[in-house]
Amino acid sequence: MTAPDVTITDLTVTFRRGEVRALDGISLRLPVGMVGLLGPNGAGKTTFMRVLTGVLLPNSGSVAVDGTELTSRGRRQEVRATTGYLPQELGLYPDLTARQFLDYMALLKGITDRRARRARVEEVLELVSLGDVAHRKVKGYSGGMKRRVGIAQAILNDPRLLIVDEPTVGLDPEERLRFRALLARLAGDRTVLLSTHIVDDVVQTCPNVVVIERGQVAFQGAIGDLATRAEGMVWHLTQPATAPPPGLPTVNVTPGSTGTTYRVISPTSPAPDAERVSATVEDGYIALMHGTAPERTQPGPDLRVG
Amino acid sequence: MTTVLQRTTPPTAARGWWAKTVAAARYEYLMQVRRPAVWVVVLGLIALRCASPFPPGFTSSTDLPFLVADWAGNFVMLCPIGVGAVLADRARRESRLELNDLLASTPTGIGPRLWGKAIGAGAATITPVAVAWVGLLGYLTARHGAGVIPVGLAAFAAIVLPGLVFISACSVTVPYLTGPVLYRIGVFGYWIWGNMVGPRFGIPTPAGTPFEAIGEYPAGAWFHGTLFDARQRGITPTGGEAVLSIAFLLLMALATLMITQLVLTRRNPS
Repeated sequence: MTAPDVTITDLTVTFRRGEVRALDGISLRLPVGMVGLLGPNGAGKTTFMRVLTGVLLPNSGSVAVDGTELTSRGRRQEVRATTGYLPQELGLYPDLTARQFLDYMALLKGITDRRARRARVEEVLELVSLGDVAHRKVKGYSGGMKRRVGIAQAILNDPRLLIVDEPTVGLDPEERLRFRALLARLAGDRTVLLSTHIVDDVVQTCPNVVVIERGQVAFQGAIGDLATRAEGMVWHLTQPATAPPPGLPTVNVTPGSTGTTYRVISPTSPAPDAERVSATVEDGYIALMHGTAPERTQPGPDLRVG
Repeated sequence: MTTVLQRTTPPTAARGWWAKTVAAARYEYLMQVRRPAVWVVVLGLIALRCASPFPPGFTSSTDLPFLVADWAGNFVMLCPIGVGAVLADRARRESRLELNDLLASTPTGIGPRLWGKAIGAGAATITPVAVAWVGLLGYLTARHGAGVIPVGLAAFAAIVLPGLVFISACSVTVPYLTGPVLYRIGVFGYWIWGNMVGPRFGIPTPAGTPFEAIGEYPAGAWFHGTLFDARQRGITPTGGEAVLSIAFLLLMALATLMITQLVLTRRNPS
């Protein structure tokens, strides 16, 4: 198995008869391994993922997997057979046990051989550490356990392309770390697209990142390049000595013994006593979102990172 | 980085339409048959009707086909309303549980899931009727001998089942359009109007015609069962009319499911 060659060209999705442009001419090519998909709420991340999984059809543009565009229903179903998807709004049948739910999903994914299916279900249950509670009905599970059932169903069919939408929302810190580690282990020779608005999740796991804002690609490239977008523009200001000028993007606020330190983004020094510090990925992201970064990119599908 | 899963033969989208339908039916059955409401509502309506079986005195008959047919008539008089009521929330269940995207992302299309739901959830809802019928046959066998069993099975298949299949098919499809609450009101109204309000009330109704769903035609034609609305219309059903009545119900069930599949597929072209 090799990771799929996924090329997205000029993808546009509109809602409400064209009034809302959820995706506005997105073009990119997904590299192998983990790819972070960042963007604020409502940027179009979920819509983008729904198009990739074939759940939603675009108004225009195309998605091609291994050179073949997903224009026909049959082709989309073929690709779905080797795609895994963990949606943001994850629903499960509450009155089935985890084992039953996964068995059902495996059947729907085309794993019809009983012996292979059972072995697979047990394997993924162990992988997400639910083997001991797999006989319990899903309605009794915690949010984290339900998310693990979600990732288990997503990898049942050994997907070449794994798409996970906000998988760590609502998880406690330990669960979140476990989840990140699991996704990183799964990446291997497949493409894992991880959508999140938690920058740290992407920093820790994804060598490549795509940032979507208002339905357009604001950045795509190596994760380190996102940080360099803000290089030279990140400042520390400490109150009460100096208050940050209003309107400057503030990355974080740290209370300390000498005052409160503000980490702000500004192309020029915001105050005489401002201290310039090195930029992180989060700084780069905030700079990009506030239009402070030097330039926005909309690379074509030929740009392949990683 | 090493892979963490054993590699399997890649599943294919085209494989096993029937296997996927059976799988969906199996799990829909499992989920529906476990619901206490299914048993309480359906058995409650059967018990309500059978507490004072109609017409009076038929239970003392020794004519086995007649006896069994009238018991079947009592079974099917009210319980389809319950069957419709407890099936009505199945249609939009995936949407309510936010499962639509997950299911739509699998290589299985709407067809196997819809047919699986109709077969599985329908069979599960008919299960209490079948269990109660088996119990009744046990009782009648103890009183009248084993000859009741083949007659009883035939009566269940010919009198009780077609109407329930028809109602089940409608109940997993029509609520996509109406929602469950409106559908429940509708199924109650339809059942009373279409099967119990006879021509004596002077309003147009299928009651007493081969297009009713209460099994009067097969009961009358093959089991000498008591006729109600058909008699008021001056009809003594023939075997052919009984076949027509059953075929009508089964074809309507089939048509309902096929039209719904078509509509859902057009609504979700992905």
